[in-house]
Amino acid sequence: MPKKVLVLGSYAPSLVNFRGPLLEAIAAAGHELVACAPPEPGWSPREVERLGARFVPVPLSRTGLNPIRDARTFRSLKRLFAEERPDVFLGYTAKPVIYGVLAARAAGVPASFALVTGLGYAFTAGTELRRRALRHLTMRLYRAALARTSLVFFQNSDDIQDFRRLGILSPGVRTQRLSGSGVDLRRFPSSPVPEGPTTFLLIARLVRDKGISEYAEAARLLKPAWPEARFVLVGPFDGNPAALSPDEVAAWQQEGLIDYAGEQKDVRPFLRDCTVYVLPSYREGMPRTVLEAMATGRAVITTDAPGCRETVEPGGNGLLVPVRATSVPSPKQCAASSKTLLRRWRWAPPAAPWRRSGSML
Amino acid sequence: MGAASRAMAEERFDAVSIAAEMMDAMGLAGAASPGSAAENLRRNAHPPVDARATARKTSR
Repeated sequence: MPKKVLVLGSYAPSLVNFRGPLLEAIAAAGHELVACAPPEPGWSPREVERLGARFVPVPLSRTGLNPIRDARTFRSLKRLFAEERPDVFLGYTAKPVIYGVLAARAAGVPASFALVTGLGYAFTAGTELRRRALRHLTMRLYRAALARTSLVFFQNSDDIQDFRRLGILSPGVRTQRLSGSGVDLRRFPSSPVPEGPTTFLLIARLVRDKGISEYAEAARLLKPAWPEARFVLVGPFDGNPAALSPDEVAAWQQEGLIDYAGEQKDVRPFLRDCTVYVLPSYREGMPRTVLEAMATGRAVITTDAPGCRETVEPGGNGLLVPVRATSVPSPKQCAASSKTLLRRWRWAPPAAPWRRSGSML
Repeated sequence: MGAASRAMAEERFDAVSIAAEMMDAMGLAGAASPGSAAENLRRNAHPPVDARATARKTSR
């Protein structure tokens, strides 16, 4: 029987880029679909409408701790649910899950689902007062919201375990693990690795927790012994408390370490032009850019961190490195062995070693 | 390595399959037509091949 479904995100373009296949599927199954997010300058709701959804802008700030602004968000969401009267609510990322589920419950929405896409800034290692305060507050709010859901989707097992260990998930809350939100394999076709100088690529919001400083440090270590290697960085500056400043990135550019390509609407040409994709993140739900790089047919170097480690079978499709690792015994030797490894990767026959090990499935 | 990456993406991280999994879990599968969400989605994602047209093309 057709239902009315309301989906809430904190970043309008993510409705199409991250949840597009899901929205399309919900609409294709005959349900009435309302997609909500804060309006984004330069972004058109036509993209969401093309998927079969009606877009409703909501006042919600993705980051920030302003209680007055968040109280306003909660009231607006409650009003939205009262007007739309959906049968099913799905929220993804922290604020839409927390305030969305609580507002849906207050407005009498029969079924609420939450998609936890990662633990974010508050839960990555760090003891600063601001981070501890945010962690405490987020835990309390998550606990209240998730207790009111029908089911919570997670993108990796580490997050489920951490939520249980921290007492955020009460024993009665149902969970389901997904392999991230996946990647649209038609949109990211496989392409051959280009000839020419080795190009490393990192695509991320310019936030410290993505390991961008470590990426620049790796470039600093390797460049003297490997001057032709390029270290490309793509992504927007961010309002996150751990955001990098434009001055830091400009300094890396001036030093010749990083080629910063800014924010890109379409990252596919960058993926096609790279040799290896790198994401030295401290923690992820399931790193979307890694999945896109994999679909493009690129080897991946990422961290042995929650979310990241699930995308790489070491030696099979890439390498796992320790979180925050920036030193090597001999940069010269490291550059030489990296070149050898890359030559081997380039000519490696197709293989799927995780099938043999069975450890990833 | 690249080929292994692509194969792994196809096998484990196909967005269409994951969307279908979520639809089933939320009880949203198959409102308009019978069958599971996975079947509906696959039907939409990959239009059925016209076997006779393919056979004609092959025989030429």
